[in-house]
Amino acid sequence: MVDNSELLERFKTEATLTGAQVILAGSVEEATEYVLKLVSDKDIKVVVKSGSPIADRLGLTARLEAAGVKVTETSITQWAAQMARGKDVPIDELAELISAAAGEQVPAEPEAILQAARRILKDVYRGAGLGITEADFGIAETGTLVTLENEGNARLAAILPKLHLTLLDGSRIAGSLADAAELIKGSSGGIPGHKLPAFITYLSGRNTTADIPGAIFSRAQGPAEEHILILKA
Amino acid sequence: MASKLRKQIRRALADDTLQAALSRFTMLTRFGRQMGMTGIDFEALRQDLHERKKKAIDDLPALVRQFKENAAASGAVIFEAENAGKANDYIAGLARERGVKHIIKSKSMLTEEIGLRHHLEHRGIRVDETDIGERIVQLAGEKPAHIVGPAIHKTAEQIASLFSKLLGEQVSSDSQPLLNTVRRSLRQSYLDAGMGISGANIAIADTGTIVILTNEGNGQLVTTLPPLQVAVVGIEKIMHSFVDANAVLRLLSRSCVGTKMTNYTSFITGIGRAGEVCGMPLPGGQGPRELHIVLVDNGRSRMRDSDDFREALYCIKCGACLNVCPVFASLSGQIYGHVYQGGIGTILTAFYHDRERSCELAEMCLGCMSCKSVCPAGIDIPGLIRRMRTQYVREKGLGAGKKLAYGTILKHPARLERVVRACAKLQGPFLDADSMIRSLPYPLRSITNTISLPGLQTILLGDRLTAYKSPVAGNAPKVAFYSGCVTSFAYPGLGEDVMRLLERYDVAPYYPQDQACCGAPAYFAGDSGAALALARHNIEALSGQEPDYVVTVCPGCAVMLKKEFLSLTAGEPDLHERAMRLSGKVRDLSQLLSELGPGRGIKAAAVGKVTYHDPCHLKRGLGISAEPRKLIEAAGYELVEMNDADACCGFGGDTLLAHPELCGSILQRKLANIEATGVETVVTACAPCVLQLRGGLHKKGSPIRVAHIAELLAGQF
Repeated sequence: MVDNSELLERFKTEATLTGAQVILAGSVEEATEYVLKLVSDKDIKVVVKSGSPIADRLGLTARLEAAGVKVTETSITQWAAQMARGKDVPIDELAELISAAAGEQVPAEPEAILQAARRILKDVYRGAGLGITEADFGIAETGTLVTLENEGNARLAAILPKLHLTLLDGSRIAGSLADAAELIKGSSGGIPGHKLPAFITYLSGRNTTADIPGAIFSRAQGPAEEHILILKA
Repeated sequence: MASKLRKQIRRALADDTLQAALSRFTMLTRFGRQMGMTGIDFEALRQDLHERKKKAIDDLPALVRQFKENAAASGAVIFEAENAGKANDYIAGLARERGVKHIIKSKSMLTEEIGLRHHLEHRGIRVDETDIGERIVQLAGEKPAHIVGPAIHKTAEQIASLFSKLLGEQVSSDSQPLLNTVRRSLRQSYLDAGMGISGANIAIADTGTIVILTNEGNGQLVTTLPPLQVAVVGIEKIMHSFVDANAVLRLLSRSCVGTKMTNYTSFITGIGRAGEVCGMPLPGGQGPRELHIVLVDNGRSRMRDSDDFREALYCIKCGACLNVCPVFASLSGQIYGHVYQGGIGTILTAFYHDRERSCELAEMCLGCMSCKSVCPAGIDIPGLIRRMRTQYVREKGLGAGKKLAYGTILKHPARLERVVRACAKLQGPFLDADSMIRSLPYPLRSITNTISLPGLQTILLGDRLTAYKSPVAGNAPKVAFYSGCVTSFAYPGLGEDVMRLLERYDVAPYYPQDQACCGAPAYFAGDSGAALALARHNIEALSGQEPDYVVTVCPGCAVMLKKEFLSLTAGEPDLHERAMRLSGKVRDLSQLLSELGPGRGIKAAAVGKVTYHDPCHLKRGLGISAEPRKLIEAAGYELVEMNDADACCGFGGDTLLAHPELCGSILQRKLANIEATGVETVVTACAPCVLQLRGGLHKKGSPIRVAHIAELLAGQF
């Protein structure tokens, strides 16, 4: 494997300049400890997350729940699976479970289930102290995190909760905007007819505004802090 | 009409709150620009962007087709709107059909250009701006002060009061609590809006993707939460591919606020989808169910069809030109009256809104070229403004005053000289003991309110040099001295210094007696007829004795002789050929002296500290800024740099005549920077700058002296 420690260093420098807190974790345990310490320090009780292979490797959900934190999956399939406690249930049973959570009767049809899920999740995102997402890759030139998705839950989990943490595989750092374009061109739309995924987000640092007189302020309309946890191993 | 603009200018200049905000803003953006330009080859990147934009605009019809095809294939509905009305009706119709009562929108210049929000509000739909600056001006019912920072003119107290009224509670004006309140108030809007409206910074044809940049994150929320999405996109935003989009991304945020990237860059391609539940797909996922992309023309095709103005379509709406414009720094953007502001705004307003008003606004442009020097798309904004004025004059003619000044007097060298000599005879009652004119009667009073003017000379430079013979002969290079009107009529002593100075460089200087005004005032006001006549005359006068060099002491004249004569004579091959030969010989004085090598006995008259003001046309027009400084130091002076040495002095040619208050405001900033250096002498390399600076310092009763570099080096100063 190519030694990309220089790219990693460059990414860390640039991302820090943008206002993010960047942590390089050398092991699965080190990474997990960071997350647990974060939720403890900030007294976080509710976490939302989007699909993340790194989080799965860390067994993050189990560790967080063991620490007394409620973790909600935000992609609808995984959320539904959480509702059904991992069992493969037929649609009427799923509708019953959702109705109980929603506090109203939800018909056993995909469209109704989708709408109910969106409504419930909107509240969950907003009530969450931390959103955990995984980036597909980083761009060293600008300290940018790139996330490709079709559902839209990753971008909501990234912006609505009070804090945001992005997990990143340390081997997935592109050098420049041009390299990023190459990687993205290579990704298929996934949805028939699409040349690209529906939503691609470049996140470069903390949300800011210069519209309040005095200075440039962070926590404009998004999270108060951006954490980037890079797993090197 | 002119007087209405003058009144607006005076009001803006008298508004202390606005002036304080503009000071702060200028400091912030200057710092941002320094940051943004670090670590990149700006010239190379903007050349690249310019070429990609050119290709996109050249291929525009094909790109529109390709974008439509790819966007539609990914689930978007495309509507092509020929004009503002059609776009607004489509969107209002959509809202009505879907029963939408509440809309949220992110920042979009185009939606302001077409008046979308008002169109919807008049139909009883609530529309909430979600960009904080836009929300503030929405609540205040005002026009934006800057295209990127719409509310820079508002104080924290004013903002707090707006939100207090909106929320029916007491809102603190302390920054953090105020921001918390604003955020809380905006968050409410996101939850139940039935439609989200956004613009797009870029549209990518080969994937059907729209790209939206924000720092606050409101763009993410507006484009994801509401089930029905509308993106309003100007057709000039479409580019071929992702690689082209990168060319914009590399420069947009750097040029705008100074960071490498905006906090959020969002690429949206059609309608999303969630994974399956119980084997059944969920279209839309947690994003919108419908995406309507309204492609707006509204005059863009017309701009594309015109060779003269097509370049204006390359604009990426970064606001960098505004950030460095001295007119903006004095007035803010509200004075432009429409949506687009500053130099590029003047051109866009002509095509989208109001041509008449644009030509009036164009009179405020000093031609300082600061905008051109920072534009990431490489647009020649001053060139566009001049072409717009020229076209307008061709159609409507010049106003009576200008017609007299340029068409009747300036165009005819002998006539101009007669008028100057007559004024020199009549100026007696207005001359003070020190040969300065402190006060002229109406209608010239407002000029002398701004600067004291030098008395006109009764013995002009040409008279003084009639008998001049160069002491150097033989094979020495022949140097024709082109003095320009200011030196010829007001500072002939400076002209004599130039001849004396050149003698010490072992060249054979001479003064072509037949030279005339270079035509710059007429040219930039749009009278290309007068300008061509003067070009013809001067090419003749300066070619006769076949000089090796033509040296100037006014870079404005130098730019005319070197560059603009070429465009003016483009329609006459023989004359154009002679213009090219002349162009190759033109040298600014500092440039020539640097090329010739050390002169004999060039020494400081008295050792001391001086500061140097970069004339606009020397630094930005000709790329010369190091040579004068080297010459000053080589002569033994200690050079102390002022802040913003290359900011315009405010002379601006005929701008001083049309808008003396505006020019005065710009001049005061320059004088403050000079005074802050603590020196006794400011040196510059442009006769009109000397006139402006001397006039302003004299008006203030300041002892600071102004030297043209020729005067300084000739040792007589």
